[in-house]
Formats: sequence, structure tokens, C-alpha cells
Amino acid sequence: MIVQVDNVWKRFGRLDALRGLSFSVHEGSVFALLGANGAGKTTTIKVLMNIVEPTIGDATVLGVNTRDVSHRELAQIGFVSENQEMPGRMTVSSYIDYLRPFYPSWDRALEADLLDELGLPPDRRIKDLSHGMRLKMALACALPFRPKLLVLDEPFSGLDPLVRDELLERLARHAGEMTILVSSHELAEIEHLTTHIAFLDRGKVLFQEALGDLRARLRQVRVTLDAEARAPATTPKEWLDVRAAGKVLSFVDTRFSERDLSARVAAVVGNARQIETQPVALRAIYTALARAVRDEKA
Amino acid sequence: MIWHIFGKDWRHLWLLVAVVTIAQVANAALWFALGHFKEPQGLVIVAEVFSVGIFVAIAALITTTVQLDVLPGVSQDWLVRPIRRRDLLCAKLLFVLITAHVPMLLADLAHGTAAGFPLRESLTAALSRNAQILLFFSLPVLAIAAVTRTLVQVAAGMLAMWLTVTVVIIAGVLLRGGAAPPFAATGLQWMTPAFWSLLALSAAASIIPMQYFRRLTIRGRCIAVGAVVLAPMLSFATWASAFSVQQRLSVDPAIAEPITIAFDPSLGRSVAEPASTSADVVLLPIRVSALVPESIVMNDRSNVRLVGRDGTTLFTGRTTTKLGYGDDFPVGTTQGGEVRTHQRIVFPERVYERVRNQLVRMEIEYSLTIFHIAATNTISAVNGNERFTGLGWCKTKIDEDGDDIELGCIKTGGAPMCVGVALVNPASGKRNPESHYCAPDYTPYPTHVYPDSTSLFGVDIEFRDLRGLVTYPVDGSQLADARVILSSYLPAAHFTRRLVIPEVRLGDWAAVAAADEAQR
Repeated sequence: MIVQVDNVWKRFGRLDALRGLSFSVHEGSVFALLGANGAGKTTTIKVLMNIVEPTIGDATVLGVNTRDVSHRELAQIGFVSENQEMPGRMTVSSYIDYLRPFYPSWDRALEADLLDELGLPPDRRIKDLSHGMRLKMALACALPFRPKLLVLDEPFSGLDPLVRDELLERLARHAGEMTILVSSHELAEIEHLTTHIAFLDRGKVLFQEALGDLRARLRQVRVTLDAEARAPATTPKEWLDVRAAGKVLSFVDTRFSERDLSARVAAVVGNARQIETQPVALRAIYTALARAVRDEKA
Repeated sequence: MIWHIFGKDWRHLWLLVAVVTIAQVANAALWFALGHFKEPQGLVIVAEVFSVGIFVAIAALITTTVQLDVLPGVSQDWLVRPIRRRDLLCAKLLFVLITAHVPMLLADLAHGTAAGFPLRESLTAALSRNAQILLFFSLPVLAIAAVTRTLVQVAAGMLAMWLTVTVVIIAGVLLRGGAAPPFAATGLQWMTPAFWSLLALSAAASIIPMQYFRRLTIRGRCIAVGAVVLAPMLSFATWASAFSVQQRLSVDPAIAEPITIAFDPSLGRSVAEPASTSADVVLLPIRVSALVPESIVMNDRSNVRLVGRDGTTLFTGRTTTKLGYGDDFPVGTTQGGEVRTHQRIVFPERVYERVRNQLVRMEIEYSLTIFHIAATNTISAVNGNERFTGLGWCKTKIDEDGDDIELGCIKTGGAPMCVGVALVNPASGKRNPESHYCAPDYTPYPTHVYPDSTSLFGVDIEFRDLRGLVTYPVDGSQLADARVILSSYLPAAHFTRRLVIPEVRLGDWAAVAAADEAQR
């Protein structure tokens, strides 16, 4: 495991930002941490980078307890965050010149390639870069040493589509070379990269799963009835985001099986004229889960 | 990677470093230019303000250096870089040493050698000052910078610290009914900055590694606040406890063992007190015995208690209302043995009026320090230019009024705390009375940080009274042949004595009566 988190708690004053968080990231995977604002995604990443210490529990990164993560591990971890405070008075090139000696595996050709492709102006001060350019800068500083683990904390927030696509394209090109841990709301954009997801809610992981497995067991189901559809008073727990419109009842089935779907639908709503299924996009999965969690809270 | 980080900081801050370096060199040049007599006078204020400004500039440089890689917070880029914390700390310390302290050392060294002091002496003074500033100023500033994010936060923090200490000290004064802190303006005053320095250094020694290696900002700030809260506590210590510590630090306690103080009515009333003396002053005749030759006794503090015949306490308090050292206890001798003199005691007017004609018991508790001569030198009274061990490079000249000889000296390290000066005419053998200029400071280690590693001191030696009231054996007509005898004194022992006078009537020793008698 590149990352292993076991029952980690993090308390800030009276607030428990993480409450028994556990998940693991396999080598070579692209692992997406999903969750609403305040779910604990950024805190989790800060713990993994040894920027904050867990209050209780242990986590390991590259096999080392996060409390002991030092320059040796950080030399193999790339980090990009929307809130990264880089030294504003330095120019793009002087900062890269400064960082280079800290990384034994720094690849100058890759550096030049990145600077060129991302269109970063070498002589401009970092504080004069736009938000998007700063994120590109962060990426340009996170990739040239070919990290084993790339940690991305909301890397696409506030970016215009063009910049976002450039970054994604760059990431896609390197995805196979490293493990990527990403927290992002831009689900559609990272969907084709992601191999695993973990869904966080209030400092806990509700579930983690390989995206392929998740897609296989989740389906958007659309049931057409003979009469006006009404949302059933009680629905199976595995049905999420149940909605009725006209003669159509729709929901996300989290235990999809082609074989018994008709029977399970009939048990709840009676005879159906037509049942259609289609795979669920990551965004839809996220939305359905988030709504389910919200309804559960309510 | 230490030098690599150093190089990055240098590229950011070389301009500020240049400004601070030029300021330090200018400071040394300014004080050198002021010469022995601090002339021109108008430049002295500028130089003094400038010297304080240097410390502000150094604090700004240290803060900016540290905050190029801000420690508090969770979003700084350097936190996710493979930068060893030890390297970062070493780089910052190295930067402070090289950019703030090396120029300071060189400027001090240049001033010392330019003033003609040997390289070794100049270097020792410069190193001593540098070490003190590093330990008690630069490191604490570095610690404060390490728990803050901006220069403004550091300035606000320091202002808050100053306000806290001031408020607590003022609260202490109010609790004591308006009395100043026990050691204010006495030779024991060193204890306050020593305590503060120790606190600052201890706090810095805790905060800096804690912050660089574990980034425990809240804990670091708590330690800083704790140090600030503790700082004024020494002002709540009692005089007796502080003086007992000072006694243990005596260089030669045996010298004070035989000394006694006795009431000596046979001396009669003083005739020296000026007629303007108020009615609540008593000039008590005393005899101080068993003094060693060439010594001065300074009254660090004395408390008097008046007890009525029925045993009730009528008054208890200090013998003087002045802060610091005055001429209330003039005890000095060249021959040794005993000195008979009058101690000036001031009572509150209401107390004095009530008891002046009563027979009362008087008890005086003395805290005293005996100074012993360390060196005696002579210099021509006019246009003298001599170098002395322990006193430095001295010059003399007649002042603009033509009534005083100005003696000015430049010395490496701190100024001597007590000097005696007397004008003599070797040809005629005449000698004016010796005057003592003492500003006791009993710091048990060498301290001198302001304005640089050298110090200037001077005294005025009167040879003509412009009012015509006093004539001097060595007057203006003899100045061509006259010489100034310059004696420096060092504290040898701190001791306490108790004087009990079973029956005394204050009115018998009233200063006004003495002055009237003198006029008659």
C-alpha cells in the first residue's frame, strides 16, 4: 500500500475533523477522495503530508508513519493544492532553481518540457501569476522529480475550462507512472483517470471501492409504470435518489443485478411496463450518495 | 542544503542586509565622530536615536529572514518539500549571524581600533557585546518571528509584551502605595534586565527548536506569553531578598566585616546644608569606622523607624524620597579609619512636625556597598590627552563658561561605575576636594550593548564658582600647572548594618536650624 489510514482522528479544539478515518491506496491507482465541503478531505491530506498530526490513530505513506514523514519521503511525493502558498517574491525560474537540488531524482528535461507545455513565464514573480497559472506552477514543481505519489487537493477549483483541460491532459499522461491521490469536486473531469474512490462524510469514510466494481453494481434505473408513479413510502436501502415523475420512477440501484432486477422492482412498485438501466457517471454516484447521506442526517 | 537555503534568503534580502550593514557602520562612525566630549551636542540625540534604530533594523532583518519560510500555518509550500528542518533552522541562524552580527562585530572592531585600542581589547569588547545581543536580543526576536507570520504581527506582539510588562509594573507601584520597584535606580537594578534576559533566552531556547522541528505554534506562543507575564514578577521581590543575593556576590566581603556605624552627637550640627533646606530634613551625625584606605561607601538603601517612648511605631520608611543615589550619605576616605559625617534623612512633614520635639528611638537599617580604589591616574588639567588602563583614552579641556574642566574618556566595554576626581597643583601642593561621580551598577558580569562596544563618559571638575560663593585652592590661575587626579573605584563588598539610637530628638538635628546657625 502506498497509503494506509487506520482509525485516524483529528480534533481541532472541539471539532472532530476526522472521526476514525480508514482507507488504503494501492500502488499505481488513482484514488479519489470524495465528499462534501467539511467532510475532512483536506485534513486527511494534511495528515498524510505530516503537516498536521493525527490526534489518535496512525497513517502511513510510502510505508512510513505520517508522524515520521520527513525529507526522505517528501522527496518522493508531489503535492498540488488550490491553497498552496508559494513564495510570491520569487520568479518561476528562480523557485524551480531553488527546489531542484532538494530532489535527487529531478529530471531537467521533464522540467523544461513541463514549463514549455504549461506556458509558464520563467521571469514572472509567482505573486503576479493568476490562480490558474499558480496551479500550473505547482504542478510544474510536483512532477519533474517523478514522484511515487502525487497528492492533489482540489487542484481544479476555480480554473477556467481551458486550464483545467491542460492540467488534466498533463495528469493523464503521467497517471500510469505514479499513484495519485486526489480530492476534487470536478468529478466528470477526473472520472476517466480515477481507478478507486472513497466517499467521506463528517470525517469518516462511508465506503471505498474500485471504480470498476462500483460502476458494475450501480445502475441508474428508470421504471415506467402503467399508472401515475408515486415514490413508495418505504424503499429498499440499496435504492438511492428515488424520484417519481409522471409514470416514471427513477433511482440508483446500488446492488444491481440484471437477473433479479425485475423481481425486486415488482416487489416494491408492482408490475412495470418497462425497466431501463444505464451505467452511472461518477458525478451521479457522488450526487446520489451525498443526497442519501443528507437525507439520512435529516 | 544550509547554504542553498542561505543563498535563497540572500537573494531576497541582500538590499535589507546592505541597509542594516551600512547603518551599523554609520553608527560606529557617528559615535567615533562625537569624540571625547560628545560634540556637536545636536548630533548626540541623533546618534542616540540612531543606535536604537539599529536594534529595530536588526529585529526587522531577523523577522524577515525567518518569515521567508513562515512556520505557523498549514498551507506553506515549503512544508511539502524535502527540506530538512535542521537545515532550515541552521540556515536562518547562519543568516542572522552573517548578516547582522558579523557587520556588528566588524563595526565595533573598527571603532575600537580607530580609537587606538589594541586589537585584542577591541575584539574582546566587540565579541562580548555581540554575544550578549545574540543571546538576549537576536534569538528572542527569532523565536517571536518563528511563532508569527508577518512583520506586523511581530511588531504588535512586541508592543503587547511591552504594554503587559508596563501595566504589571505600574500595578505593582500602585499596590505599594506609589513606591517605585525595590531596585529602581540602585546598583541592584541589573537584576531586572538579567532576569528578563534569562527569561527571554530560556523562552527562545524552548520555542525555536519546538517550532522548527514540531511546529507547535500555540505552545510556542503560550511560552512567550508566560515569559512576558513572569518578566515583571521580579519587581514584586523584596529589597532584603534581592540585597542578600547581592551580598553573596561580593568580591571581597571581608573588607566590610569590621565596619561599624554609630550615632556621633559630638560632631555637632552640620553647617554645610544650604539655607533652602525644608523643615522636614534631619542631618544626623554619624561615625563610620574601620574603613579601608581609598574607599567610598554608597548607601544603596536605608530604612528608618521611629518608635515613641510608649513603644508605638511613629514612622517607618526610607531615609530619602529620592530615587537613586544622592549626597545623603557622604562617606569616603583616602586615609582609611573613620569618617564622621551627617546623614541626610527626610521625613514626611506631618510626621516630622508631630515628633520633632519628642524623644524617640530611632532605628536605621542600612544596605551599603563599599567601593575600593581600582586605579589612580593623573592627566593635565588643560588639553590633557592620555590613555589609562581601565579608564581608556581621556582628554581634558576648559568648558565654554570657563568654570569647569571637562574630562571626557572613551573606553572599550562599559563605563566605570564610580570615579573620583580632584584637581591638584603639584608645584604648590594644593589640592581641591575630591568629587565622586558614581552610578552604581553591581552587574556581576561585563555588560555593555549600547550604543556600540565602546562607551563615552565624562565629568566636569569645577575650579571657579561663578557666583563667587566658593573659592578653590587650585583655581583658574593655576590651571597651566594643574593636573586632574582620576581615581576609579570598584564595588568590593555589599553589607548591612543596623544603627539604633535609644533616645534622640529630631528637632535637635534639624537642617534648617543648622543652616540658621551657620548664617549666624
